[in-house]
Amino acid sequence: MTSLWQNYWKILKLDPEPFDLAKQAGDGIWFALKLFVVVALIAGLGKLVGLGQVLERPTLAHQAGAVAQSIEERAAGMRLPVAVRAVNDVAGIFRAVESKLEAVQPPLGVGASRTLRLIGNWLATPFELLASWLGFIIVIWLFARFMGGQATITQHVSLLLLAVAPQVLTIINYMPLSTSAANAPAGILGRLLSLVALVWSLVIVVNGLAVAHQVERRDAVKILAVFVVVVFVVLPILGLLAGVYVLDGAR
Amino acid sequence: MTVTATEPTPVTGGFSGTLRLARQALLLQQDVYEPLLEVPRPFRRGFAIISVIMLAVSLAYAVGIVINLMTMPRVDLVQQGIYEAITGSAWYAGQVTLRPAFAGFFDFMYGLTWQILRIVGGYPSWLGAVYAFFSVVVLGILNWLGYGVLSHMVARWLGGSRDISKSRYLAVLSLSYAPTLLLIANIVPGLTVPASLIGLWTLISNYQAISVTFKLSWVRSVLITVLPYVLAVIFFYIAIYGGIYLGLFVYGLIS
Repeated sequence: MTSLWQNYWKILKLDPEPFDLAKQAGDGIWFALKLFVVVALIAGLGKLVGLGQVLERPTLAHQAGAVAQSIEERAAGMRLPVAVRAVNDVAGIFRAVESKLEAVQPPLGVGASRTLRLIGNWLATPFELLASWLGFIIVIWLFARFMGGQATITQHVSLLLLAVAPQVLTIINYMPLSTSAANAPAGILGRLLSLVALVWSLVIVVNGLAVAHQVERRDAVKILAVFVVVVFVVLPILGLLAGVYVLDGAR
Repeated sequence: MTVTATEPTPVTGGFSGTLRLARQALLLQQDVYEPLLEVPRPFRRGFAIISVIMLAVSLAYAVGIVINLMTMPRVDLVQQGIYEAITGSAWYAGQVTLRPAFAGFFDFMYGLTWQILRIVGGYPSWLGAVYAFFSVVVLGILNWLGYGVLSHMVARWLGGSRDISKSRYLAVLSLSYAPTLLLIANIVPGLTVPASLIGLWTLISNYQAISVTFKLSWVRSVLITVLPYVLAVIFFYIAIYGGIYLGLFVYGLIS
């Protein structure tokens, strides 16, 4: 693991050694995946901050009781006896549901079950992050190959996965912060750090593209620029025009 | 840290041998596919590989359901409890008195609603475990066969060698479904591996299997990888709309 951390700092500094390591056949992709998982888990630690909230969340029984309470309060303000009776019947159903649900708990208990599920949610972070990145990585590979790049798909994936390194800065984004004024500074800080992580990751992507496809960095910047323009500007505009054309035809 | 290139794993049979091969395919090691082009009885070998992968996933799925049940409220008891609360209420008694058929209708709608809630909410069930077991294995094998046949056809169109038989190609392709093994992680309560990750990772492996098999340019290999999905969507819409038109035509003839 010491070696992994040494390489981690080198990636952030754009030192060539870990990039050459990731490009190697065999162990390169394993190194990149290990780094990706570790960094994603560190970033995802923000989810565990919400453990207190998760444990305090009302159970189904409490929620049914709260609904019954709210209905009974409404019934107290009604005048028509028929309406009061009907509303009280509904409240009675929710009270009965509440008492039934109090007897129904997970076999491991509410607290332990919620903690386990939260830990599972945290462990899912690398999978979720990889799922959101992989589509872009594949499309960038297509653009790079069309523009003269030489990397195999494995080399390309290995090197671009290294761009996850700065994403530890997004740890605040994983925290379940409410939208209250007290959390506003944390929210702003989270967004600023995310922006820094994004820019830093893009720099590592450019470096990774240059190493994987054996091109100059300026050519790697061109590849990335073409990808961004086509995917985030041209395709949405074409989609919009196609939608307008179809709707116009439908009229 | 020194790195040595990993030697391709020899093609050995058996559960553990197949999982060793699958691990290398999962790590996008392209050279793991080459030896499968030379195996004897390639279709049987491919069938064995895909079966091992899907069986491993479905067994893990079944174990995961048991573990998940330990951390979730007993949905059957919740369902029963709410049912007893509603059917014991004065409102329900009044409805049944007014309309005797209401009881049967309520039972049907109540059961249907809870089935939908279980599926949407991802609640595990014993029936779901049995269904998942068969659907993972059967649908996995059908997907391998269907994609294999379509992509082999496309490869021939795009200049792929006629010396590569379907059975040899299916043997190689079977290993490219190794990313499905990532679903084993769903054993952990609260952890759901995104289906898009499995799909995209499998797409990369499919491309590698196709590259190794047909040895065409990267552009043709990408087209062979992607076009079967396009063809499948086209066939699907032809089947749907063709079915609708055929039904209308027959209805017109009858009436």
